Amino acid sequence: MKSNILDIHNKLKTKEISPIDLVNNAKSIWIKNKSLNSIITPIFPTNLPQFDKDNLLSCILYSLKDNICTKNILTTGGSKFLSTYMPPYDATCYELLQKAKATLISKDSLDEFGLGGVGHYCFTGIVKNPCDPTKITGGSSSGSAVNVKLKISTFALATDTGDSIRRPASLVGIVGYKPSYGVISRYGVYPYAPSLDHVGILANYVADCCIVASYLNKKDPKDMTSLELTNSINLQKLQTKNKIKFIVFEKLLSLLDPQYLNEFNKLLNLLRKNGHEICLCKDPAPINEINKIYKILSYMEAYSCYSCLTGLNYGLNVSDVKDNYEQTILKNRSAGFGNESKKRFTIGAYLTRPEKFIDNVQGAYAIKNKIIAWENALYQNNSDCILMPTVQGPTPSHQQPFAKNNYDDWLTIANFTGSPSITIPFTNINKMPYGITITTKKYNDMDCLNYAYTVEELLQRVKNE
Amino acid sequence: MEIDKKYIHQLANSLYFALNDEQSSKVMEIIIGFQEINSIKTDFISQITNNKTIILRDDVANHTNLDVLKNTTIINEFVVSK
Repeated sequence: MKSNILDIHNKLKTKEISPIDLVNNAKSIWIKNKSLNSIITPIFPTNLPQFDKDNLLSCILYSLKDNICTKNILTTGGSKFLSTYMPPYDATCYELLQKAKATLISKDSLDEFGLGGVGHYCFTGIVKNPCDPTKITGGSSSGSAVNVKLKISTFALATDTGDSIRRPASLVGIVGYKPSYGVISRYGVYPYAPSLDHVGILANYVADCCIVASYLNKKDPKDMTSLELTNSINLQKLQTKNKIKFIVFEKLLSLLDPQYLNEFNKLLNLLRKNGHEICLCKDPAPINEINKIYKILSYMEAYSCYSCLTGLNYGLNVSDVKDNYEQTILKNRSAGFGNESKKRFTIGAYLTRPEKFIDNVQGAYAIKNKIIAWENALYQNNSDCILMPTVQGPTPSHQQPFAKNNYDDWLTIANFTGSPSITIPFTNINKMPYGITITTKKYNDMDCLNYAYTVEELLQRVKNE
Repeated sequence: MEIDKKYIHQLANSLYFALNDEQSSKVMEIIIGFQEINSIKTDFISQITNNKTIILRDDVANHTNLDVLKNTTIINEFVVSK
């Protein structure tokens, strides 16, 4: 079983390395790669807890996307508005990792409040792809993906509202796991769109995601949407499966760049040769409009969530003493928010105008519910999971970051349905990594991890042959 | 309601921030793209509620680009429940 956490744990156990060696090594990698701009607040602590051999996460280095609250440690949300903000409390997911004695080494760059998909909207600047710095990292969990890829952190916690964990994972060549809705508590995590927000994990192997998730899946009384899975996530249950029925969408294959289609076809062949089944699905056309529904719901919720930032109680305040109440807020919000956030907030406000609320918002929710019914129906023939390429073609450059990518929209389906979805590295094309995404039924997280693990092992075996 | 740049600027102002001209143009462009949302809703919902089937295709052999799928399992039709 490939697992960085297990490898490091064993080395700590045999004293081949010490916890402080791990931190020093991570710090030196970060210093060499500072130009990638992956970290907002470096921590790299020197005062470390004693290694606990009975605890797999003990002394394991991790980082947090900087929208996860850490008491008395800067939590900027990637925004100039909160660039000096120290939360007075911890997020539950951070508390659980502290309890497990894992070592937090950094707070990572992200698109402002998670509102972005390319890694260009953090107030500290553009995050660059370690595989080729001229290419985008994807977002919004850009910094966390870079840190895990470079092994600055062994794993990272991040958030996924549309595809914010899975897309950067694919673009840098690591594993990105978005669990079912509620599996990891959102308490203390800055929202983007609460009905779609998920906390998830970035790591180098499926087993690492499984280990971390097993520590984090707890019912949290502070987050009423959180739950403990009936079929709990546990490393002991991680195993390869003999016969998996994969659903593949015909429409998506027709959109793929030819070189990528060729590689994906090879994967399908490999799966079939190994006893798995591929079921081709013709999707209904309106699914193509999913991007619009996502925008309506997420922009509307985002604009509502961030109306509270005024700069009066905390956050950026650039006002003059002569300014009245309204002028103060106008100045603070104009100076504090980045262009992308302002754009999305304005559209959110437009869509929720009272005279259009039913058409826009209720209409979008109605379609979302139908999409959930549609996805459930896909599994009625005993199919196990959906398999799709994570991106459509070559990684865009920083100059043209918005290359058409309909695949983003398809990844969002798992946010609508709250289903577990995981991206794993699959191949390299022109030296750039390329991922595939596996999505299963809501709350079947252990199955999702097992299917991903099966494909990961298979690809590893082929690579070694 | 007629959408123009002035309206977009007013809307941003009501949210207590200022937009520049380039930003308001981008906002306009996206909002115009949303105008068709009602027809999408109607099409999609009628398709689902009329019990239109979603078929896992069995005629994949005709897909020259997808030769790997020639032997793909044929799955029965099924209906999306109301």
